[in-house]
Amino acid sequence: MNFENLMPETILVAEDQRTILNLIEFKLKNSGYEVIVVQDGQTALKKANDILPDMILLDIMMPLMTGFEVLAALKKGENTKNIPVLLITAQTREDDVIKGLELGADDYILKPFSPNELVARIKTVLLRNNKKKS
Amino acid sequence: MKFFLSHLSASILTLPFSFSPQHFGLTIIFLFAVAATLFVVTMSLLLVFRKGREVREKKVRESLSKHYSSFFANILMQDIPPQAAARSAGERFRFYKSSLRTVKKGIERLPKRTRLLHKSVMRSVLIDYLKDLKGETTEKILYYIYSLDILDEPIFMMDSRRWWIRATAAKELGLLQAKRAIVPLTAALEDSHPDVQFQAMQSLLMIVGVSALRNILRLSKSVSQGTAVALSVIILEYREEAVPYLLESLTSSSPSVVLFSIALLGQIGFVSAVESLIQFCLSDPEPILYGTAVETLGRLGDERAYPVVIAAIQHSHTSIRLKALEALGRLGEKKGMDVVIERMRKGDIAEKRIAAHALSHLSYDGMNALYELLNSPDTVTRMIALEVTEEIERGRGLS
Repeated sequence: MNFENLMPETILVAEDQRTILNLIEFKLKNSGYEVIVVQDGQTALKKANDILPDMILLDIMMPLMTGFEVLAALKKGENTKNIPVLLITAQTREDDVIKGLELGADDYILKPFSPNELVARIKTVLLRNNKKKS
Repeated sequence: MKFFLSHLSASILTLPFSFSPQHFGLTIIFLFAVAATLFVVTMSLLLVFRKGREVREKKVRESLSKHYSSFFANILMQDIPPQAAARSAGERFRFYKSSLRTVKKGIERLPKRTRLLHKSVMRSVLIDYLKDLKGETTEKILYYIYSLDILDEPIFMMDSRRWWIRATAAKELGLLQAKRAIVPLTAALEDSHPDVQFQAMQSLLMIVGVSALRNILRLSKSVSQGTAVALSVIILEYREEAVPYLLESLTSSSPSVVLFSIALLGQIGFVSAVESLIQFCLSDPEPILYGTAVETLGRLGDERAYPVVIAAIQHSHTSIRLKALEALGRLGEKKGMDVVIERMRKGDIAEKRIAAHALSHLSYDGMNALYELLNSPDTVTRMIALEVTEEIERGRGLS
């Protein structure tokens, strides 16, 4: 029996705004994921290396280390380079999306976003990544 | 030591009452020192007390913010039961109401000051959610805002004597999409402070949409430069939807509103504005408005504008002539070339330069006329014709 398939997927959410972080946490937990939340870039990078989550949700504007810096560091790390990353950014900063995708992000979502759309995008990215693995 | 202290206290106590001339000056200094010390001590205590209260309030706010952000996140993410979701809005609202029952009862029991603090924190949490979320959650958030009565305070703040409080309230009401606040926000369009006016404009556009432009442009007494820049960014997003309102405002009694509307019509570039702008020019407006309208007609590039532009080239006001020459260059047809050549011969240096550029845009014939002017008997005309032809040749890589 493959127990790995029965384990909920772990998602690391890095977002500095407490309100939206709470909401993402609730939504993802309700959708059956195990969620770990952090509020700055440095902790996000450390946690990613420690727990090797199945996916990372990364806000671009964060204290200590920006989302871009975290993303670049993740892609350099041997253990973390294959973790899929979904970027969260403001509608007004669409240029960031291009930069993020060039740095190796798998997808992005623009604020304001619909929580259902967020979950749908996460599912798609995870599915794509699982197919790649197998 | 005991003796010294008792002696000192006795002399301090008797000092203020000893009115002999030699003690008088000392007494004044002493009283002044006592008053100053008392003042400093009282002020310091007040400051410490105030700071302490601020720190306490900040801590309470932070903890309430954590509590309410978690509470609202939880109820926002609760799935609506399928039977309620499929039925009417009333069914859905009953479901939203049930999730608020406990918190509503809780805040009703609080003393007024604490209740206001709770509502203020709820307001900022819900604003954050409204800013970052869309789709299925928006209806819920708007229901919470109305149901929790958290709009009363910012609406009340709109009457504050301090402009920054009014501006903050206007901004919050927009972010909360408070339809109830349309009346005070509309009144704020005539506020004495430009920042309040701008926040009210922005909020009305957020709540009502593009149709708010009618009142914004009708009631605004003036549009400052800063407001014009910020407001045009918002209006440009509506593009042609904004055109009817901008055209309506051409009849405004405020020159700055008219100027703002004309400039925006040029930026939006919608040709339906041409006829109204022509009529506006024919009404002989103030020179600055006339010049901007002619310039906008040039930008819109519609040939119906030729007669007005050509008439403006012959206007007595220099700034209108300059704008008209530029406009003709943009329209780029040889109609009216004679008038341009005449301005090239008779105008001042600035006019000659713009006329030369206009000629260069009037097709092959315009360029020919410019080359002919290289032989003009007037030195300045010759020099400018040479300068512009050289510039064009450099641009084409001919020299």
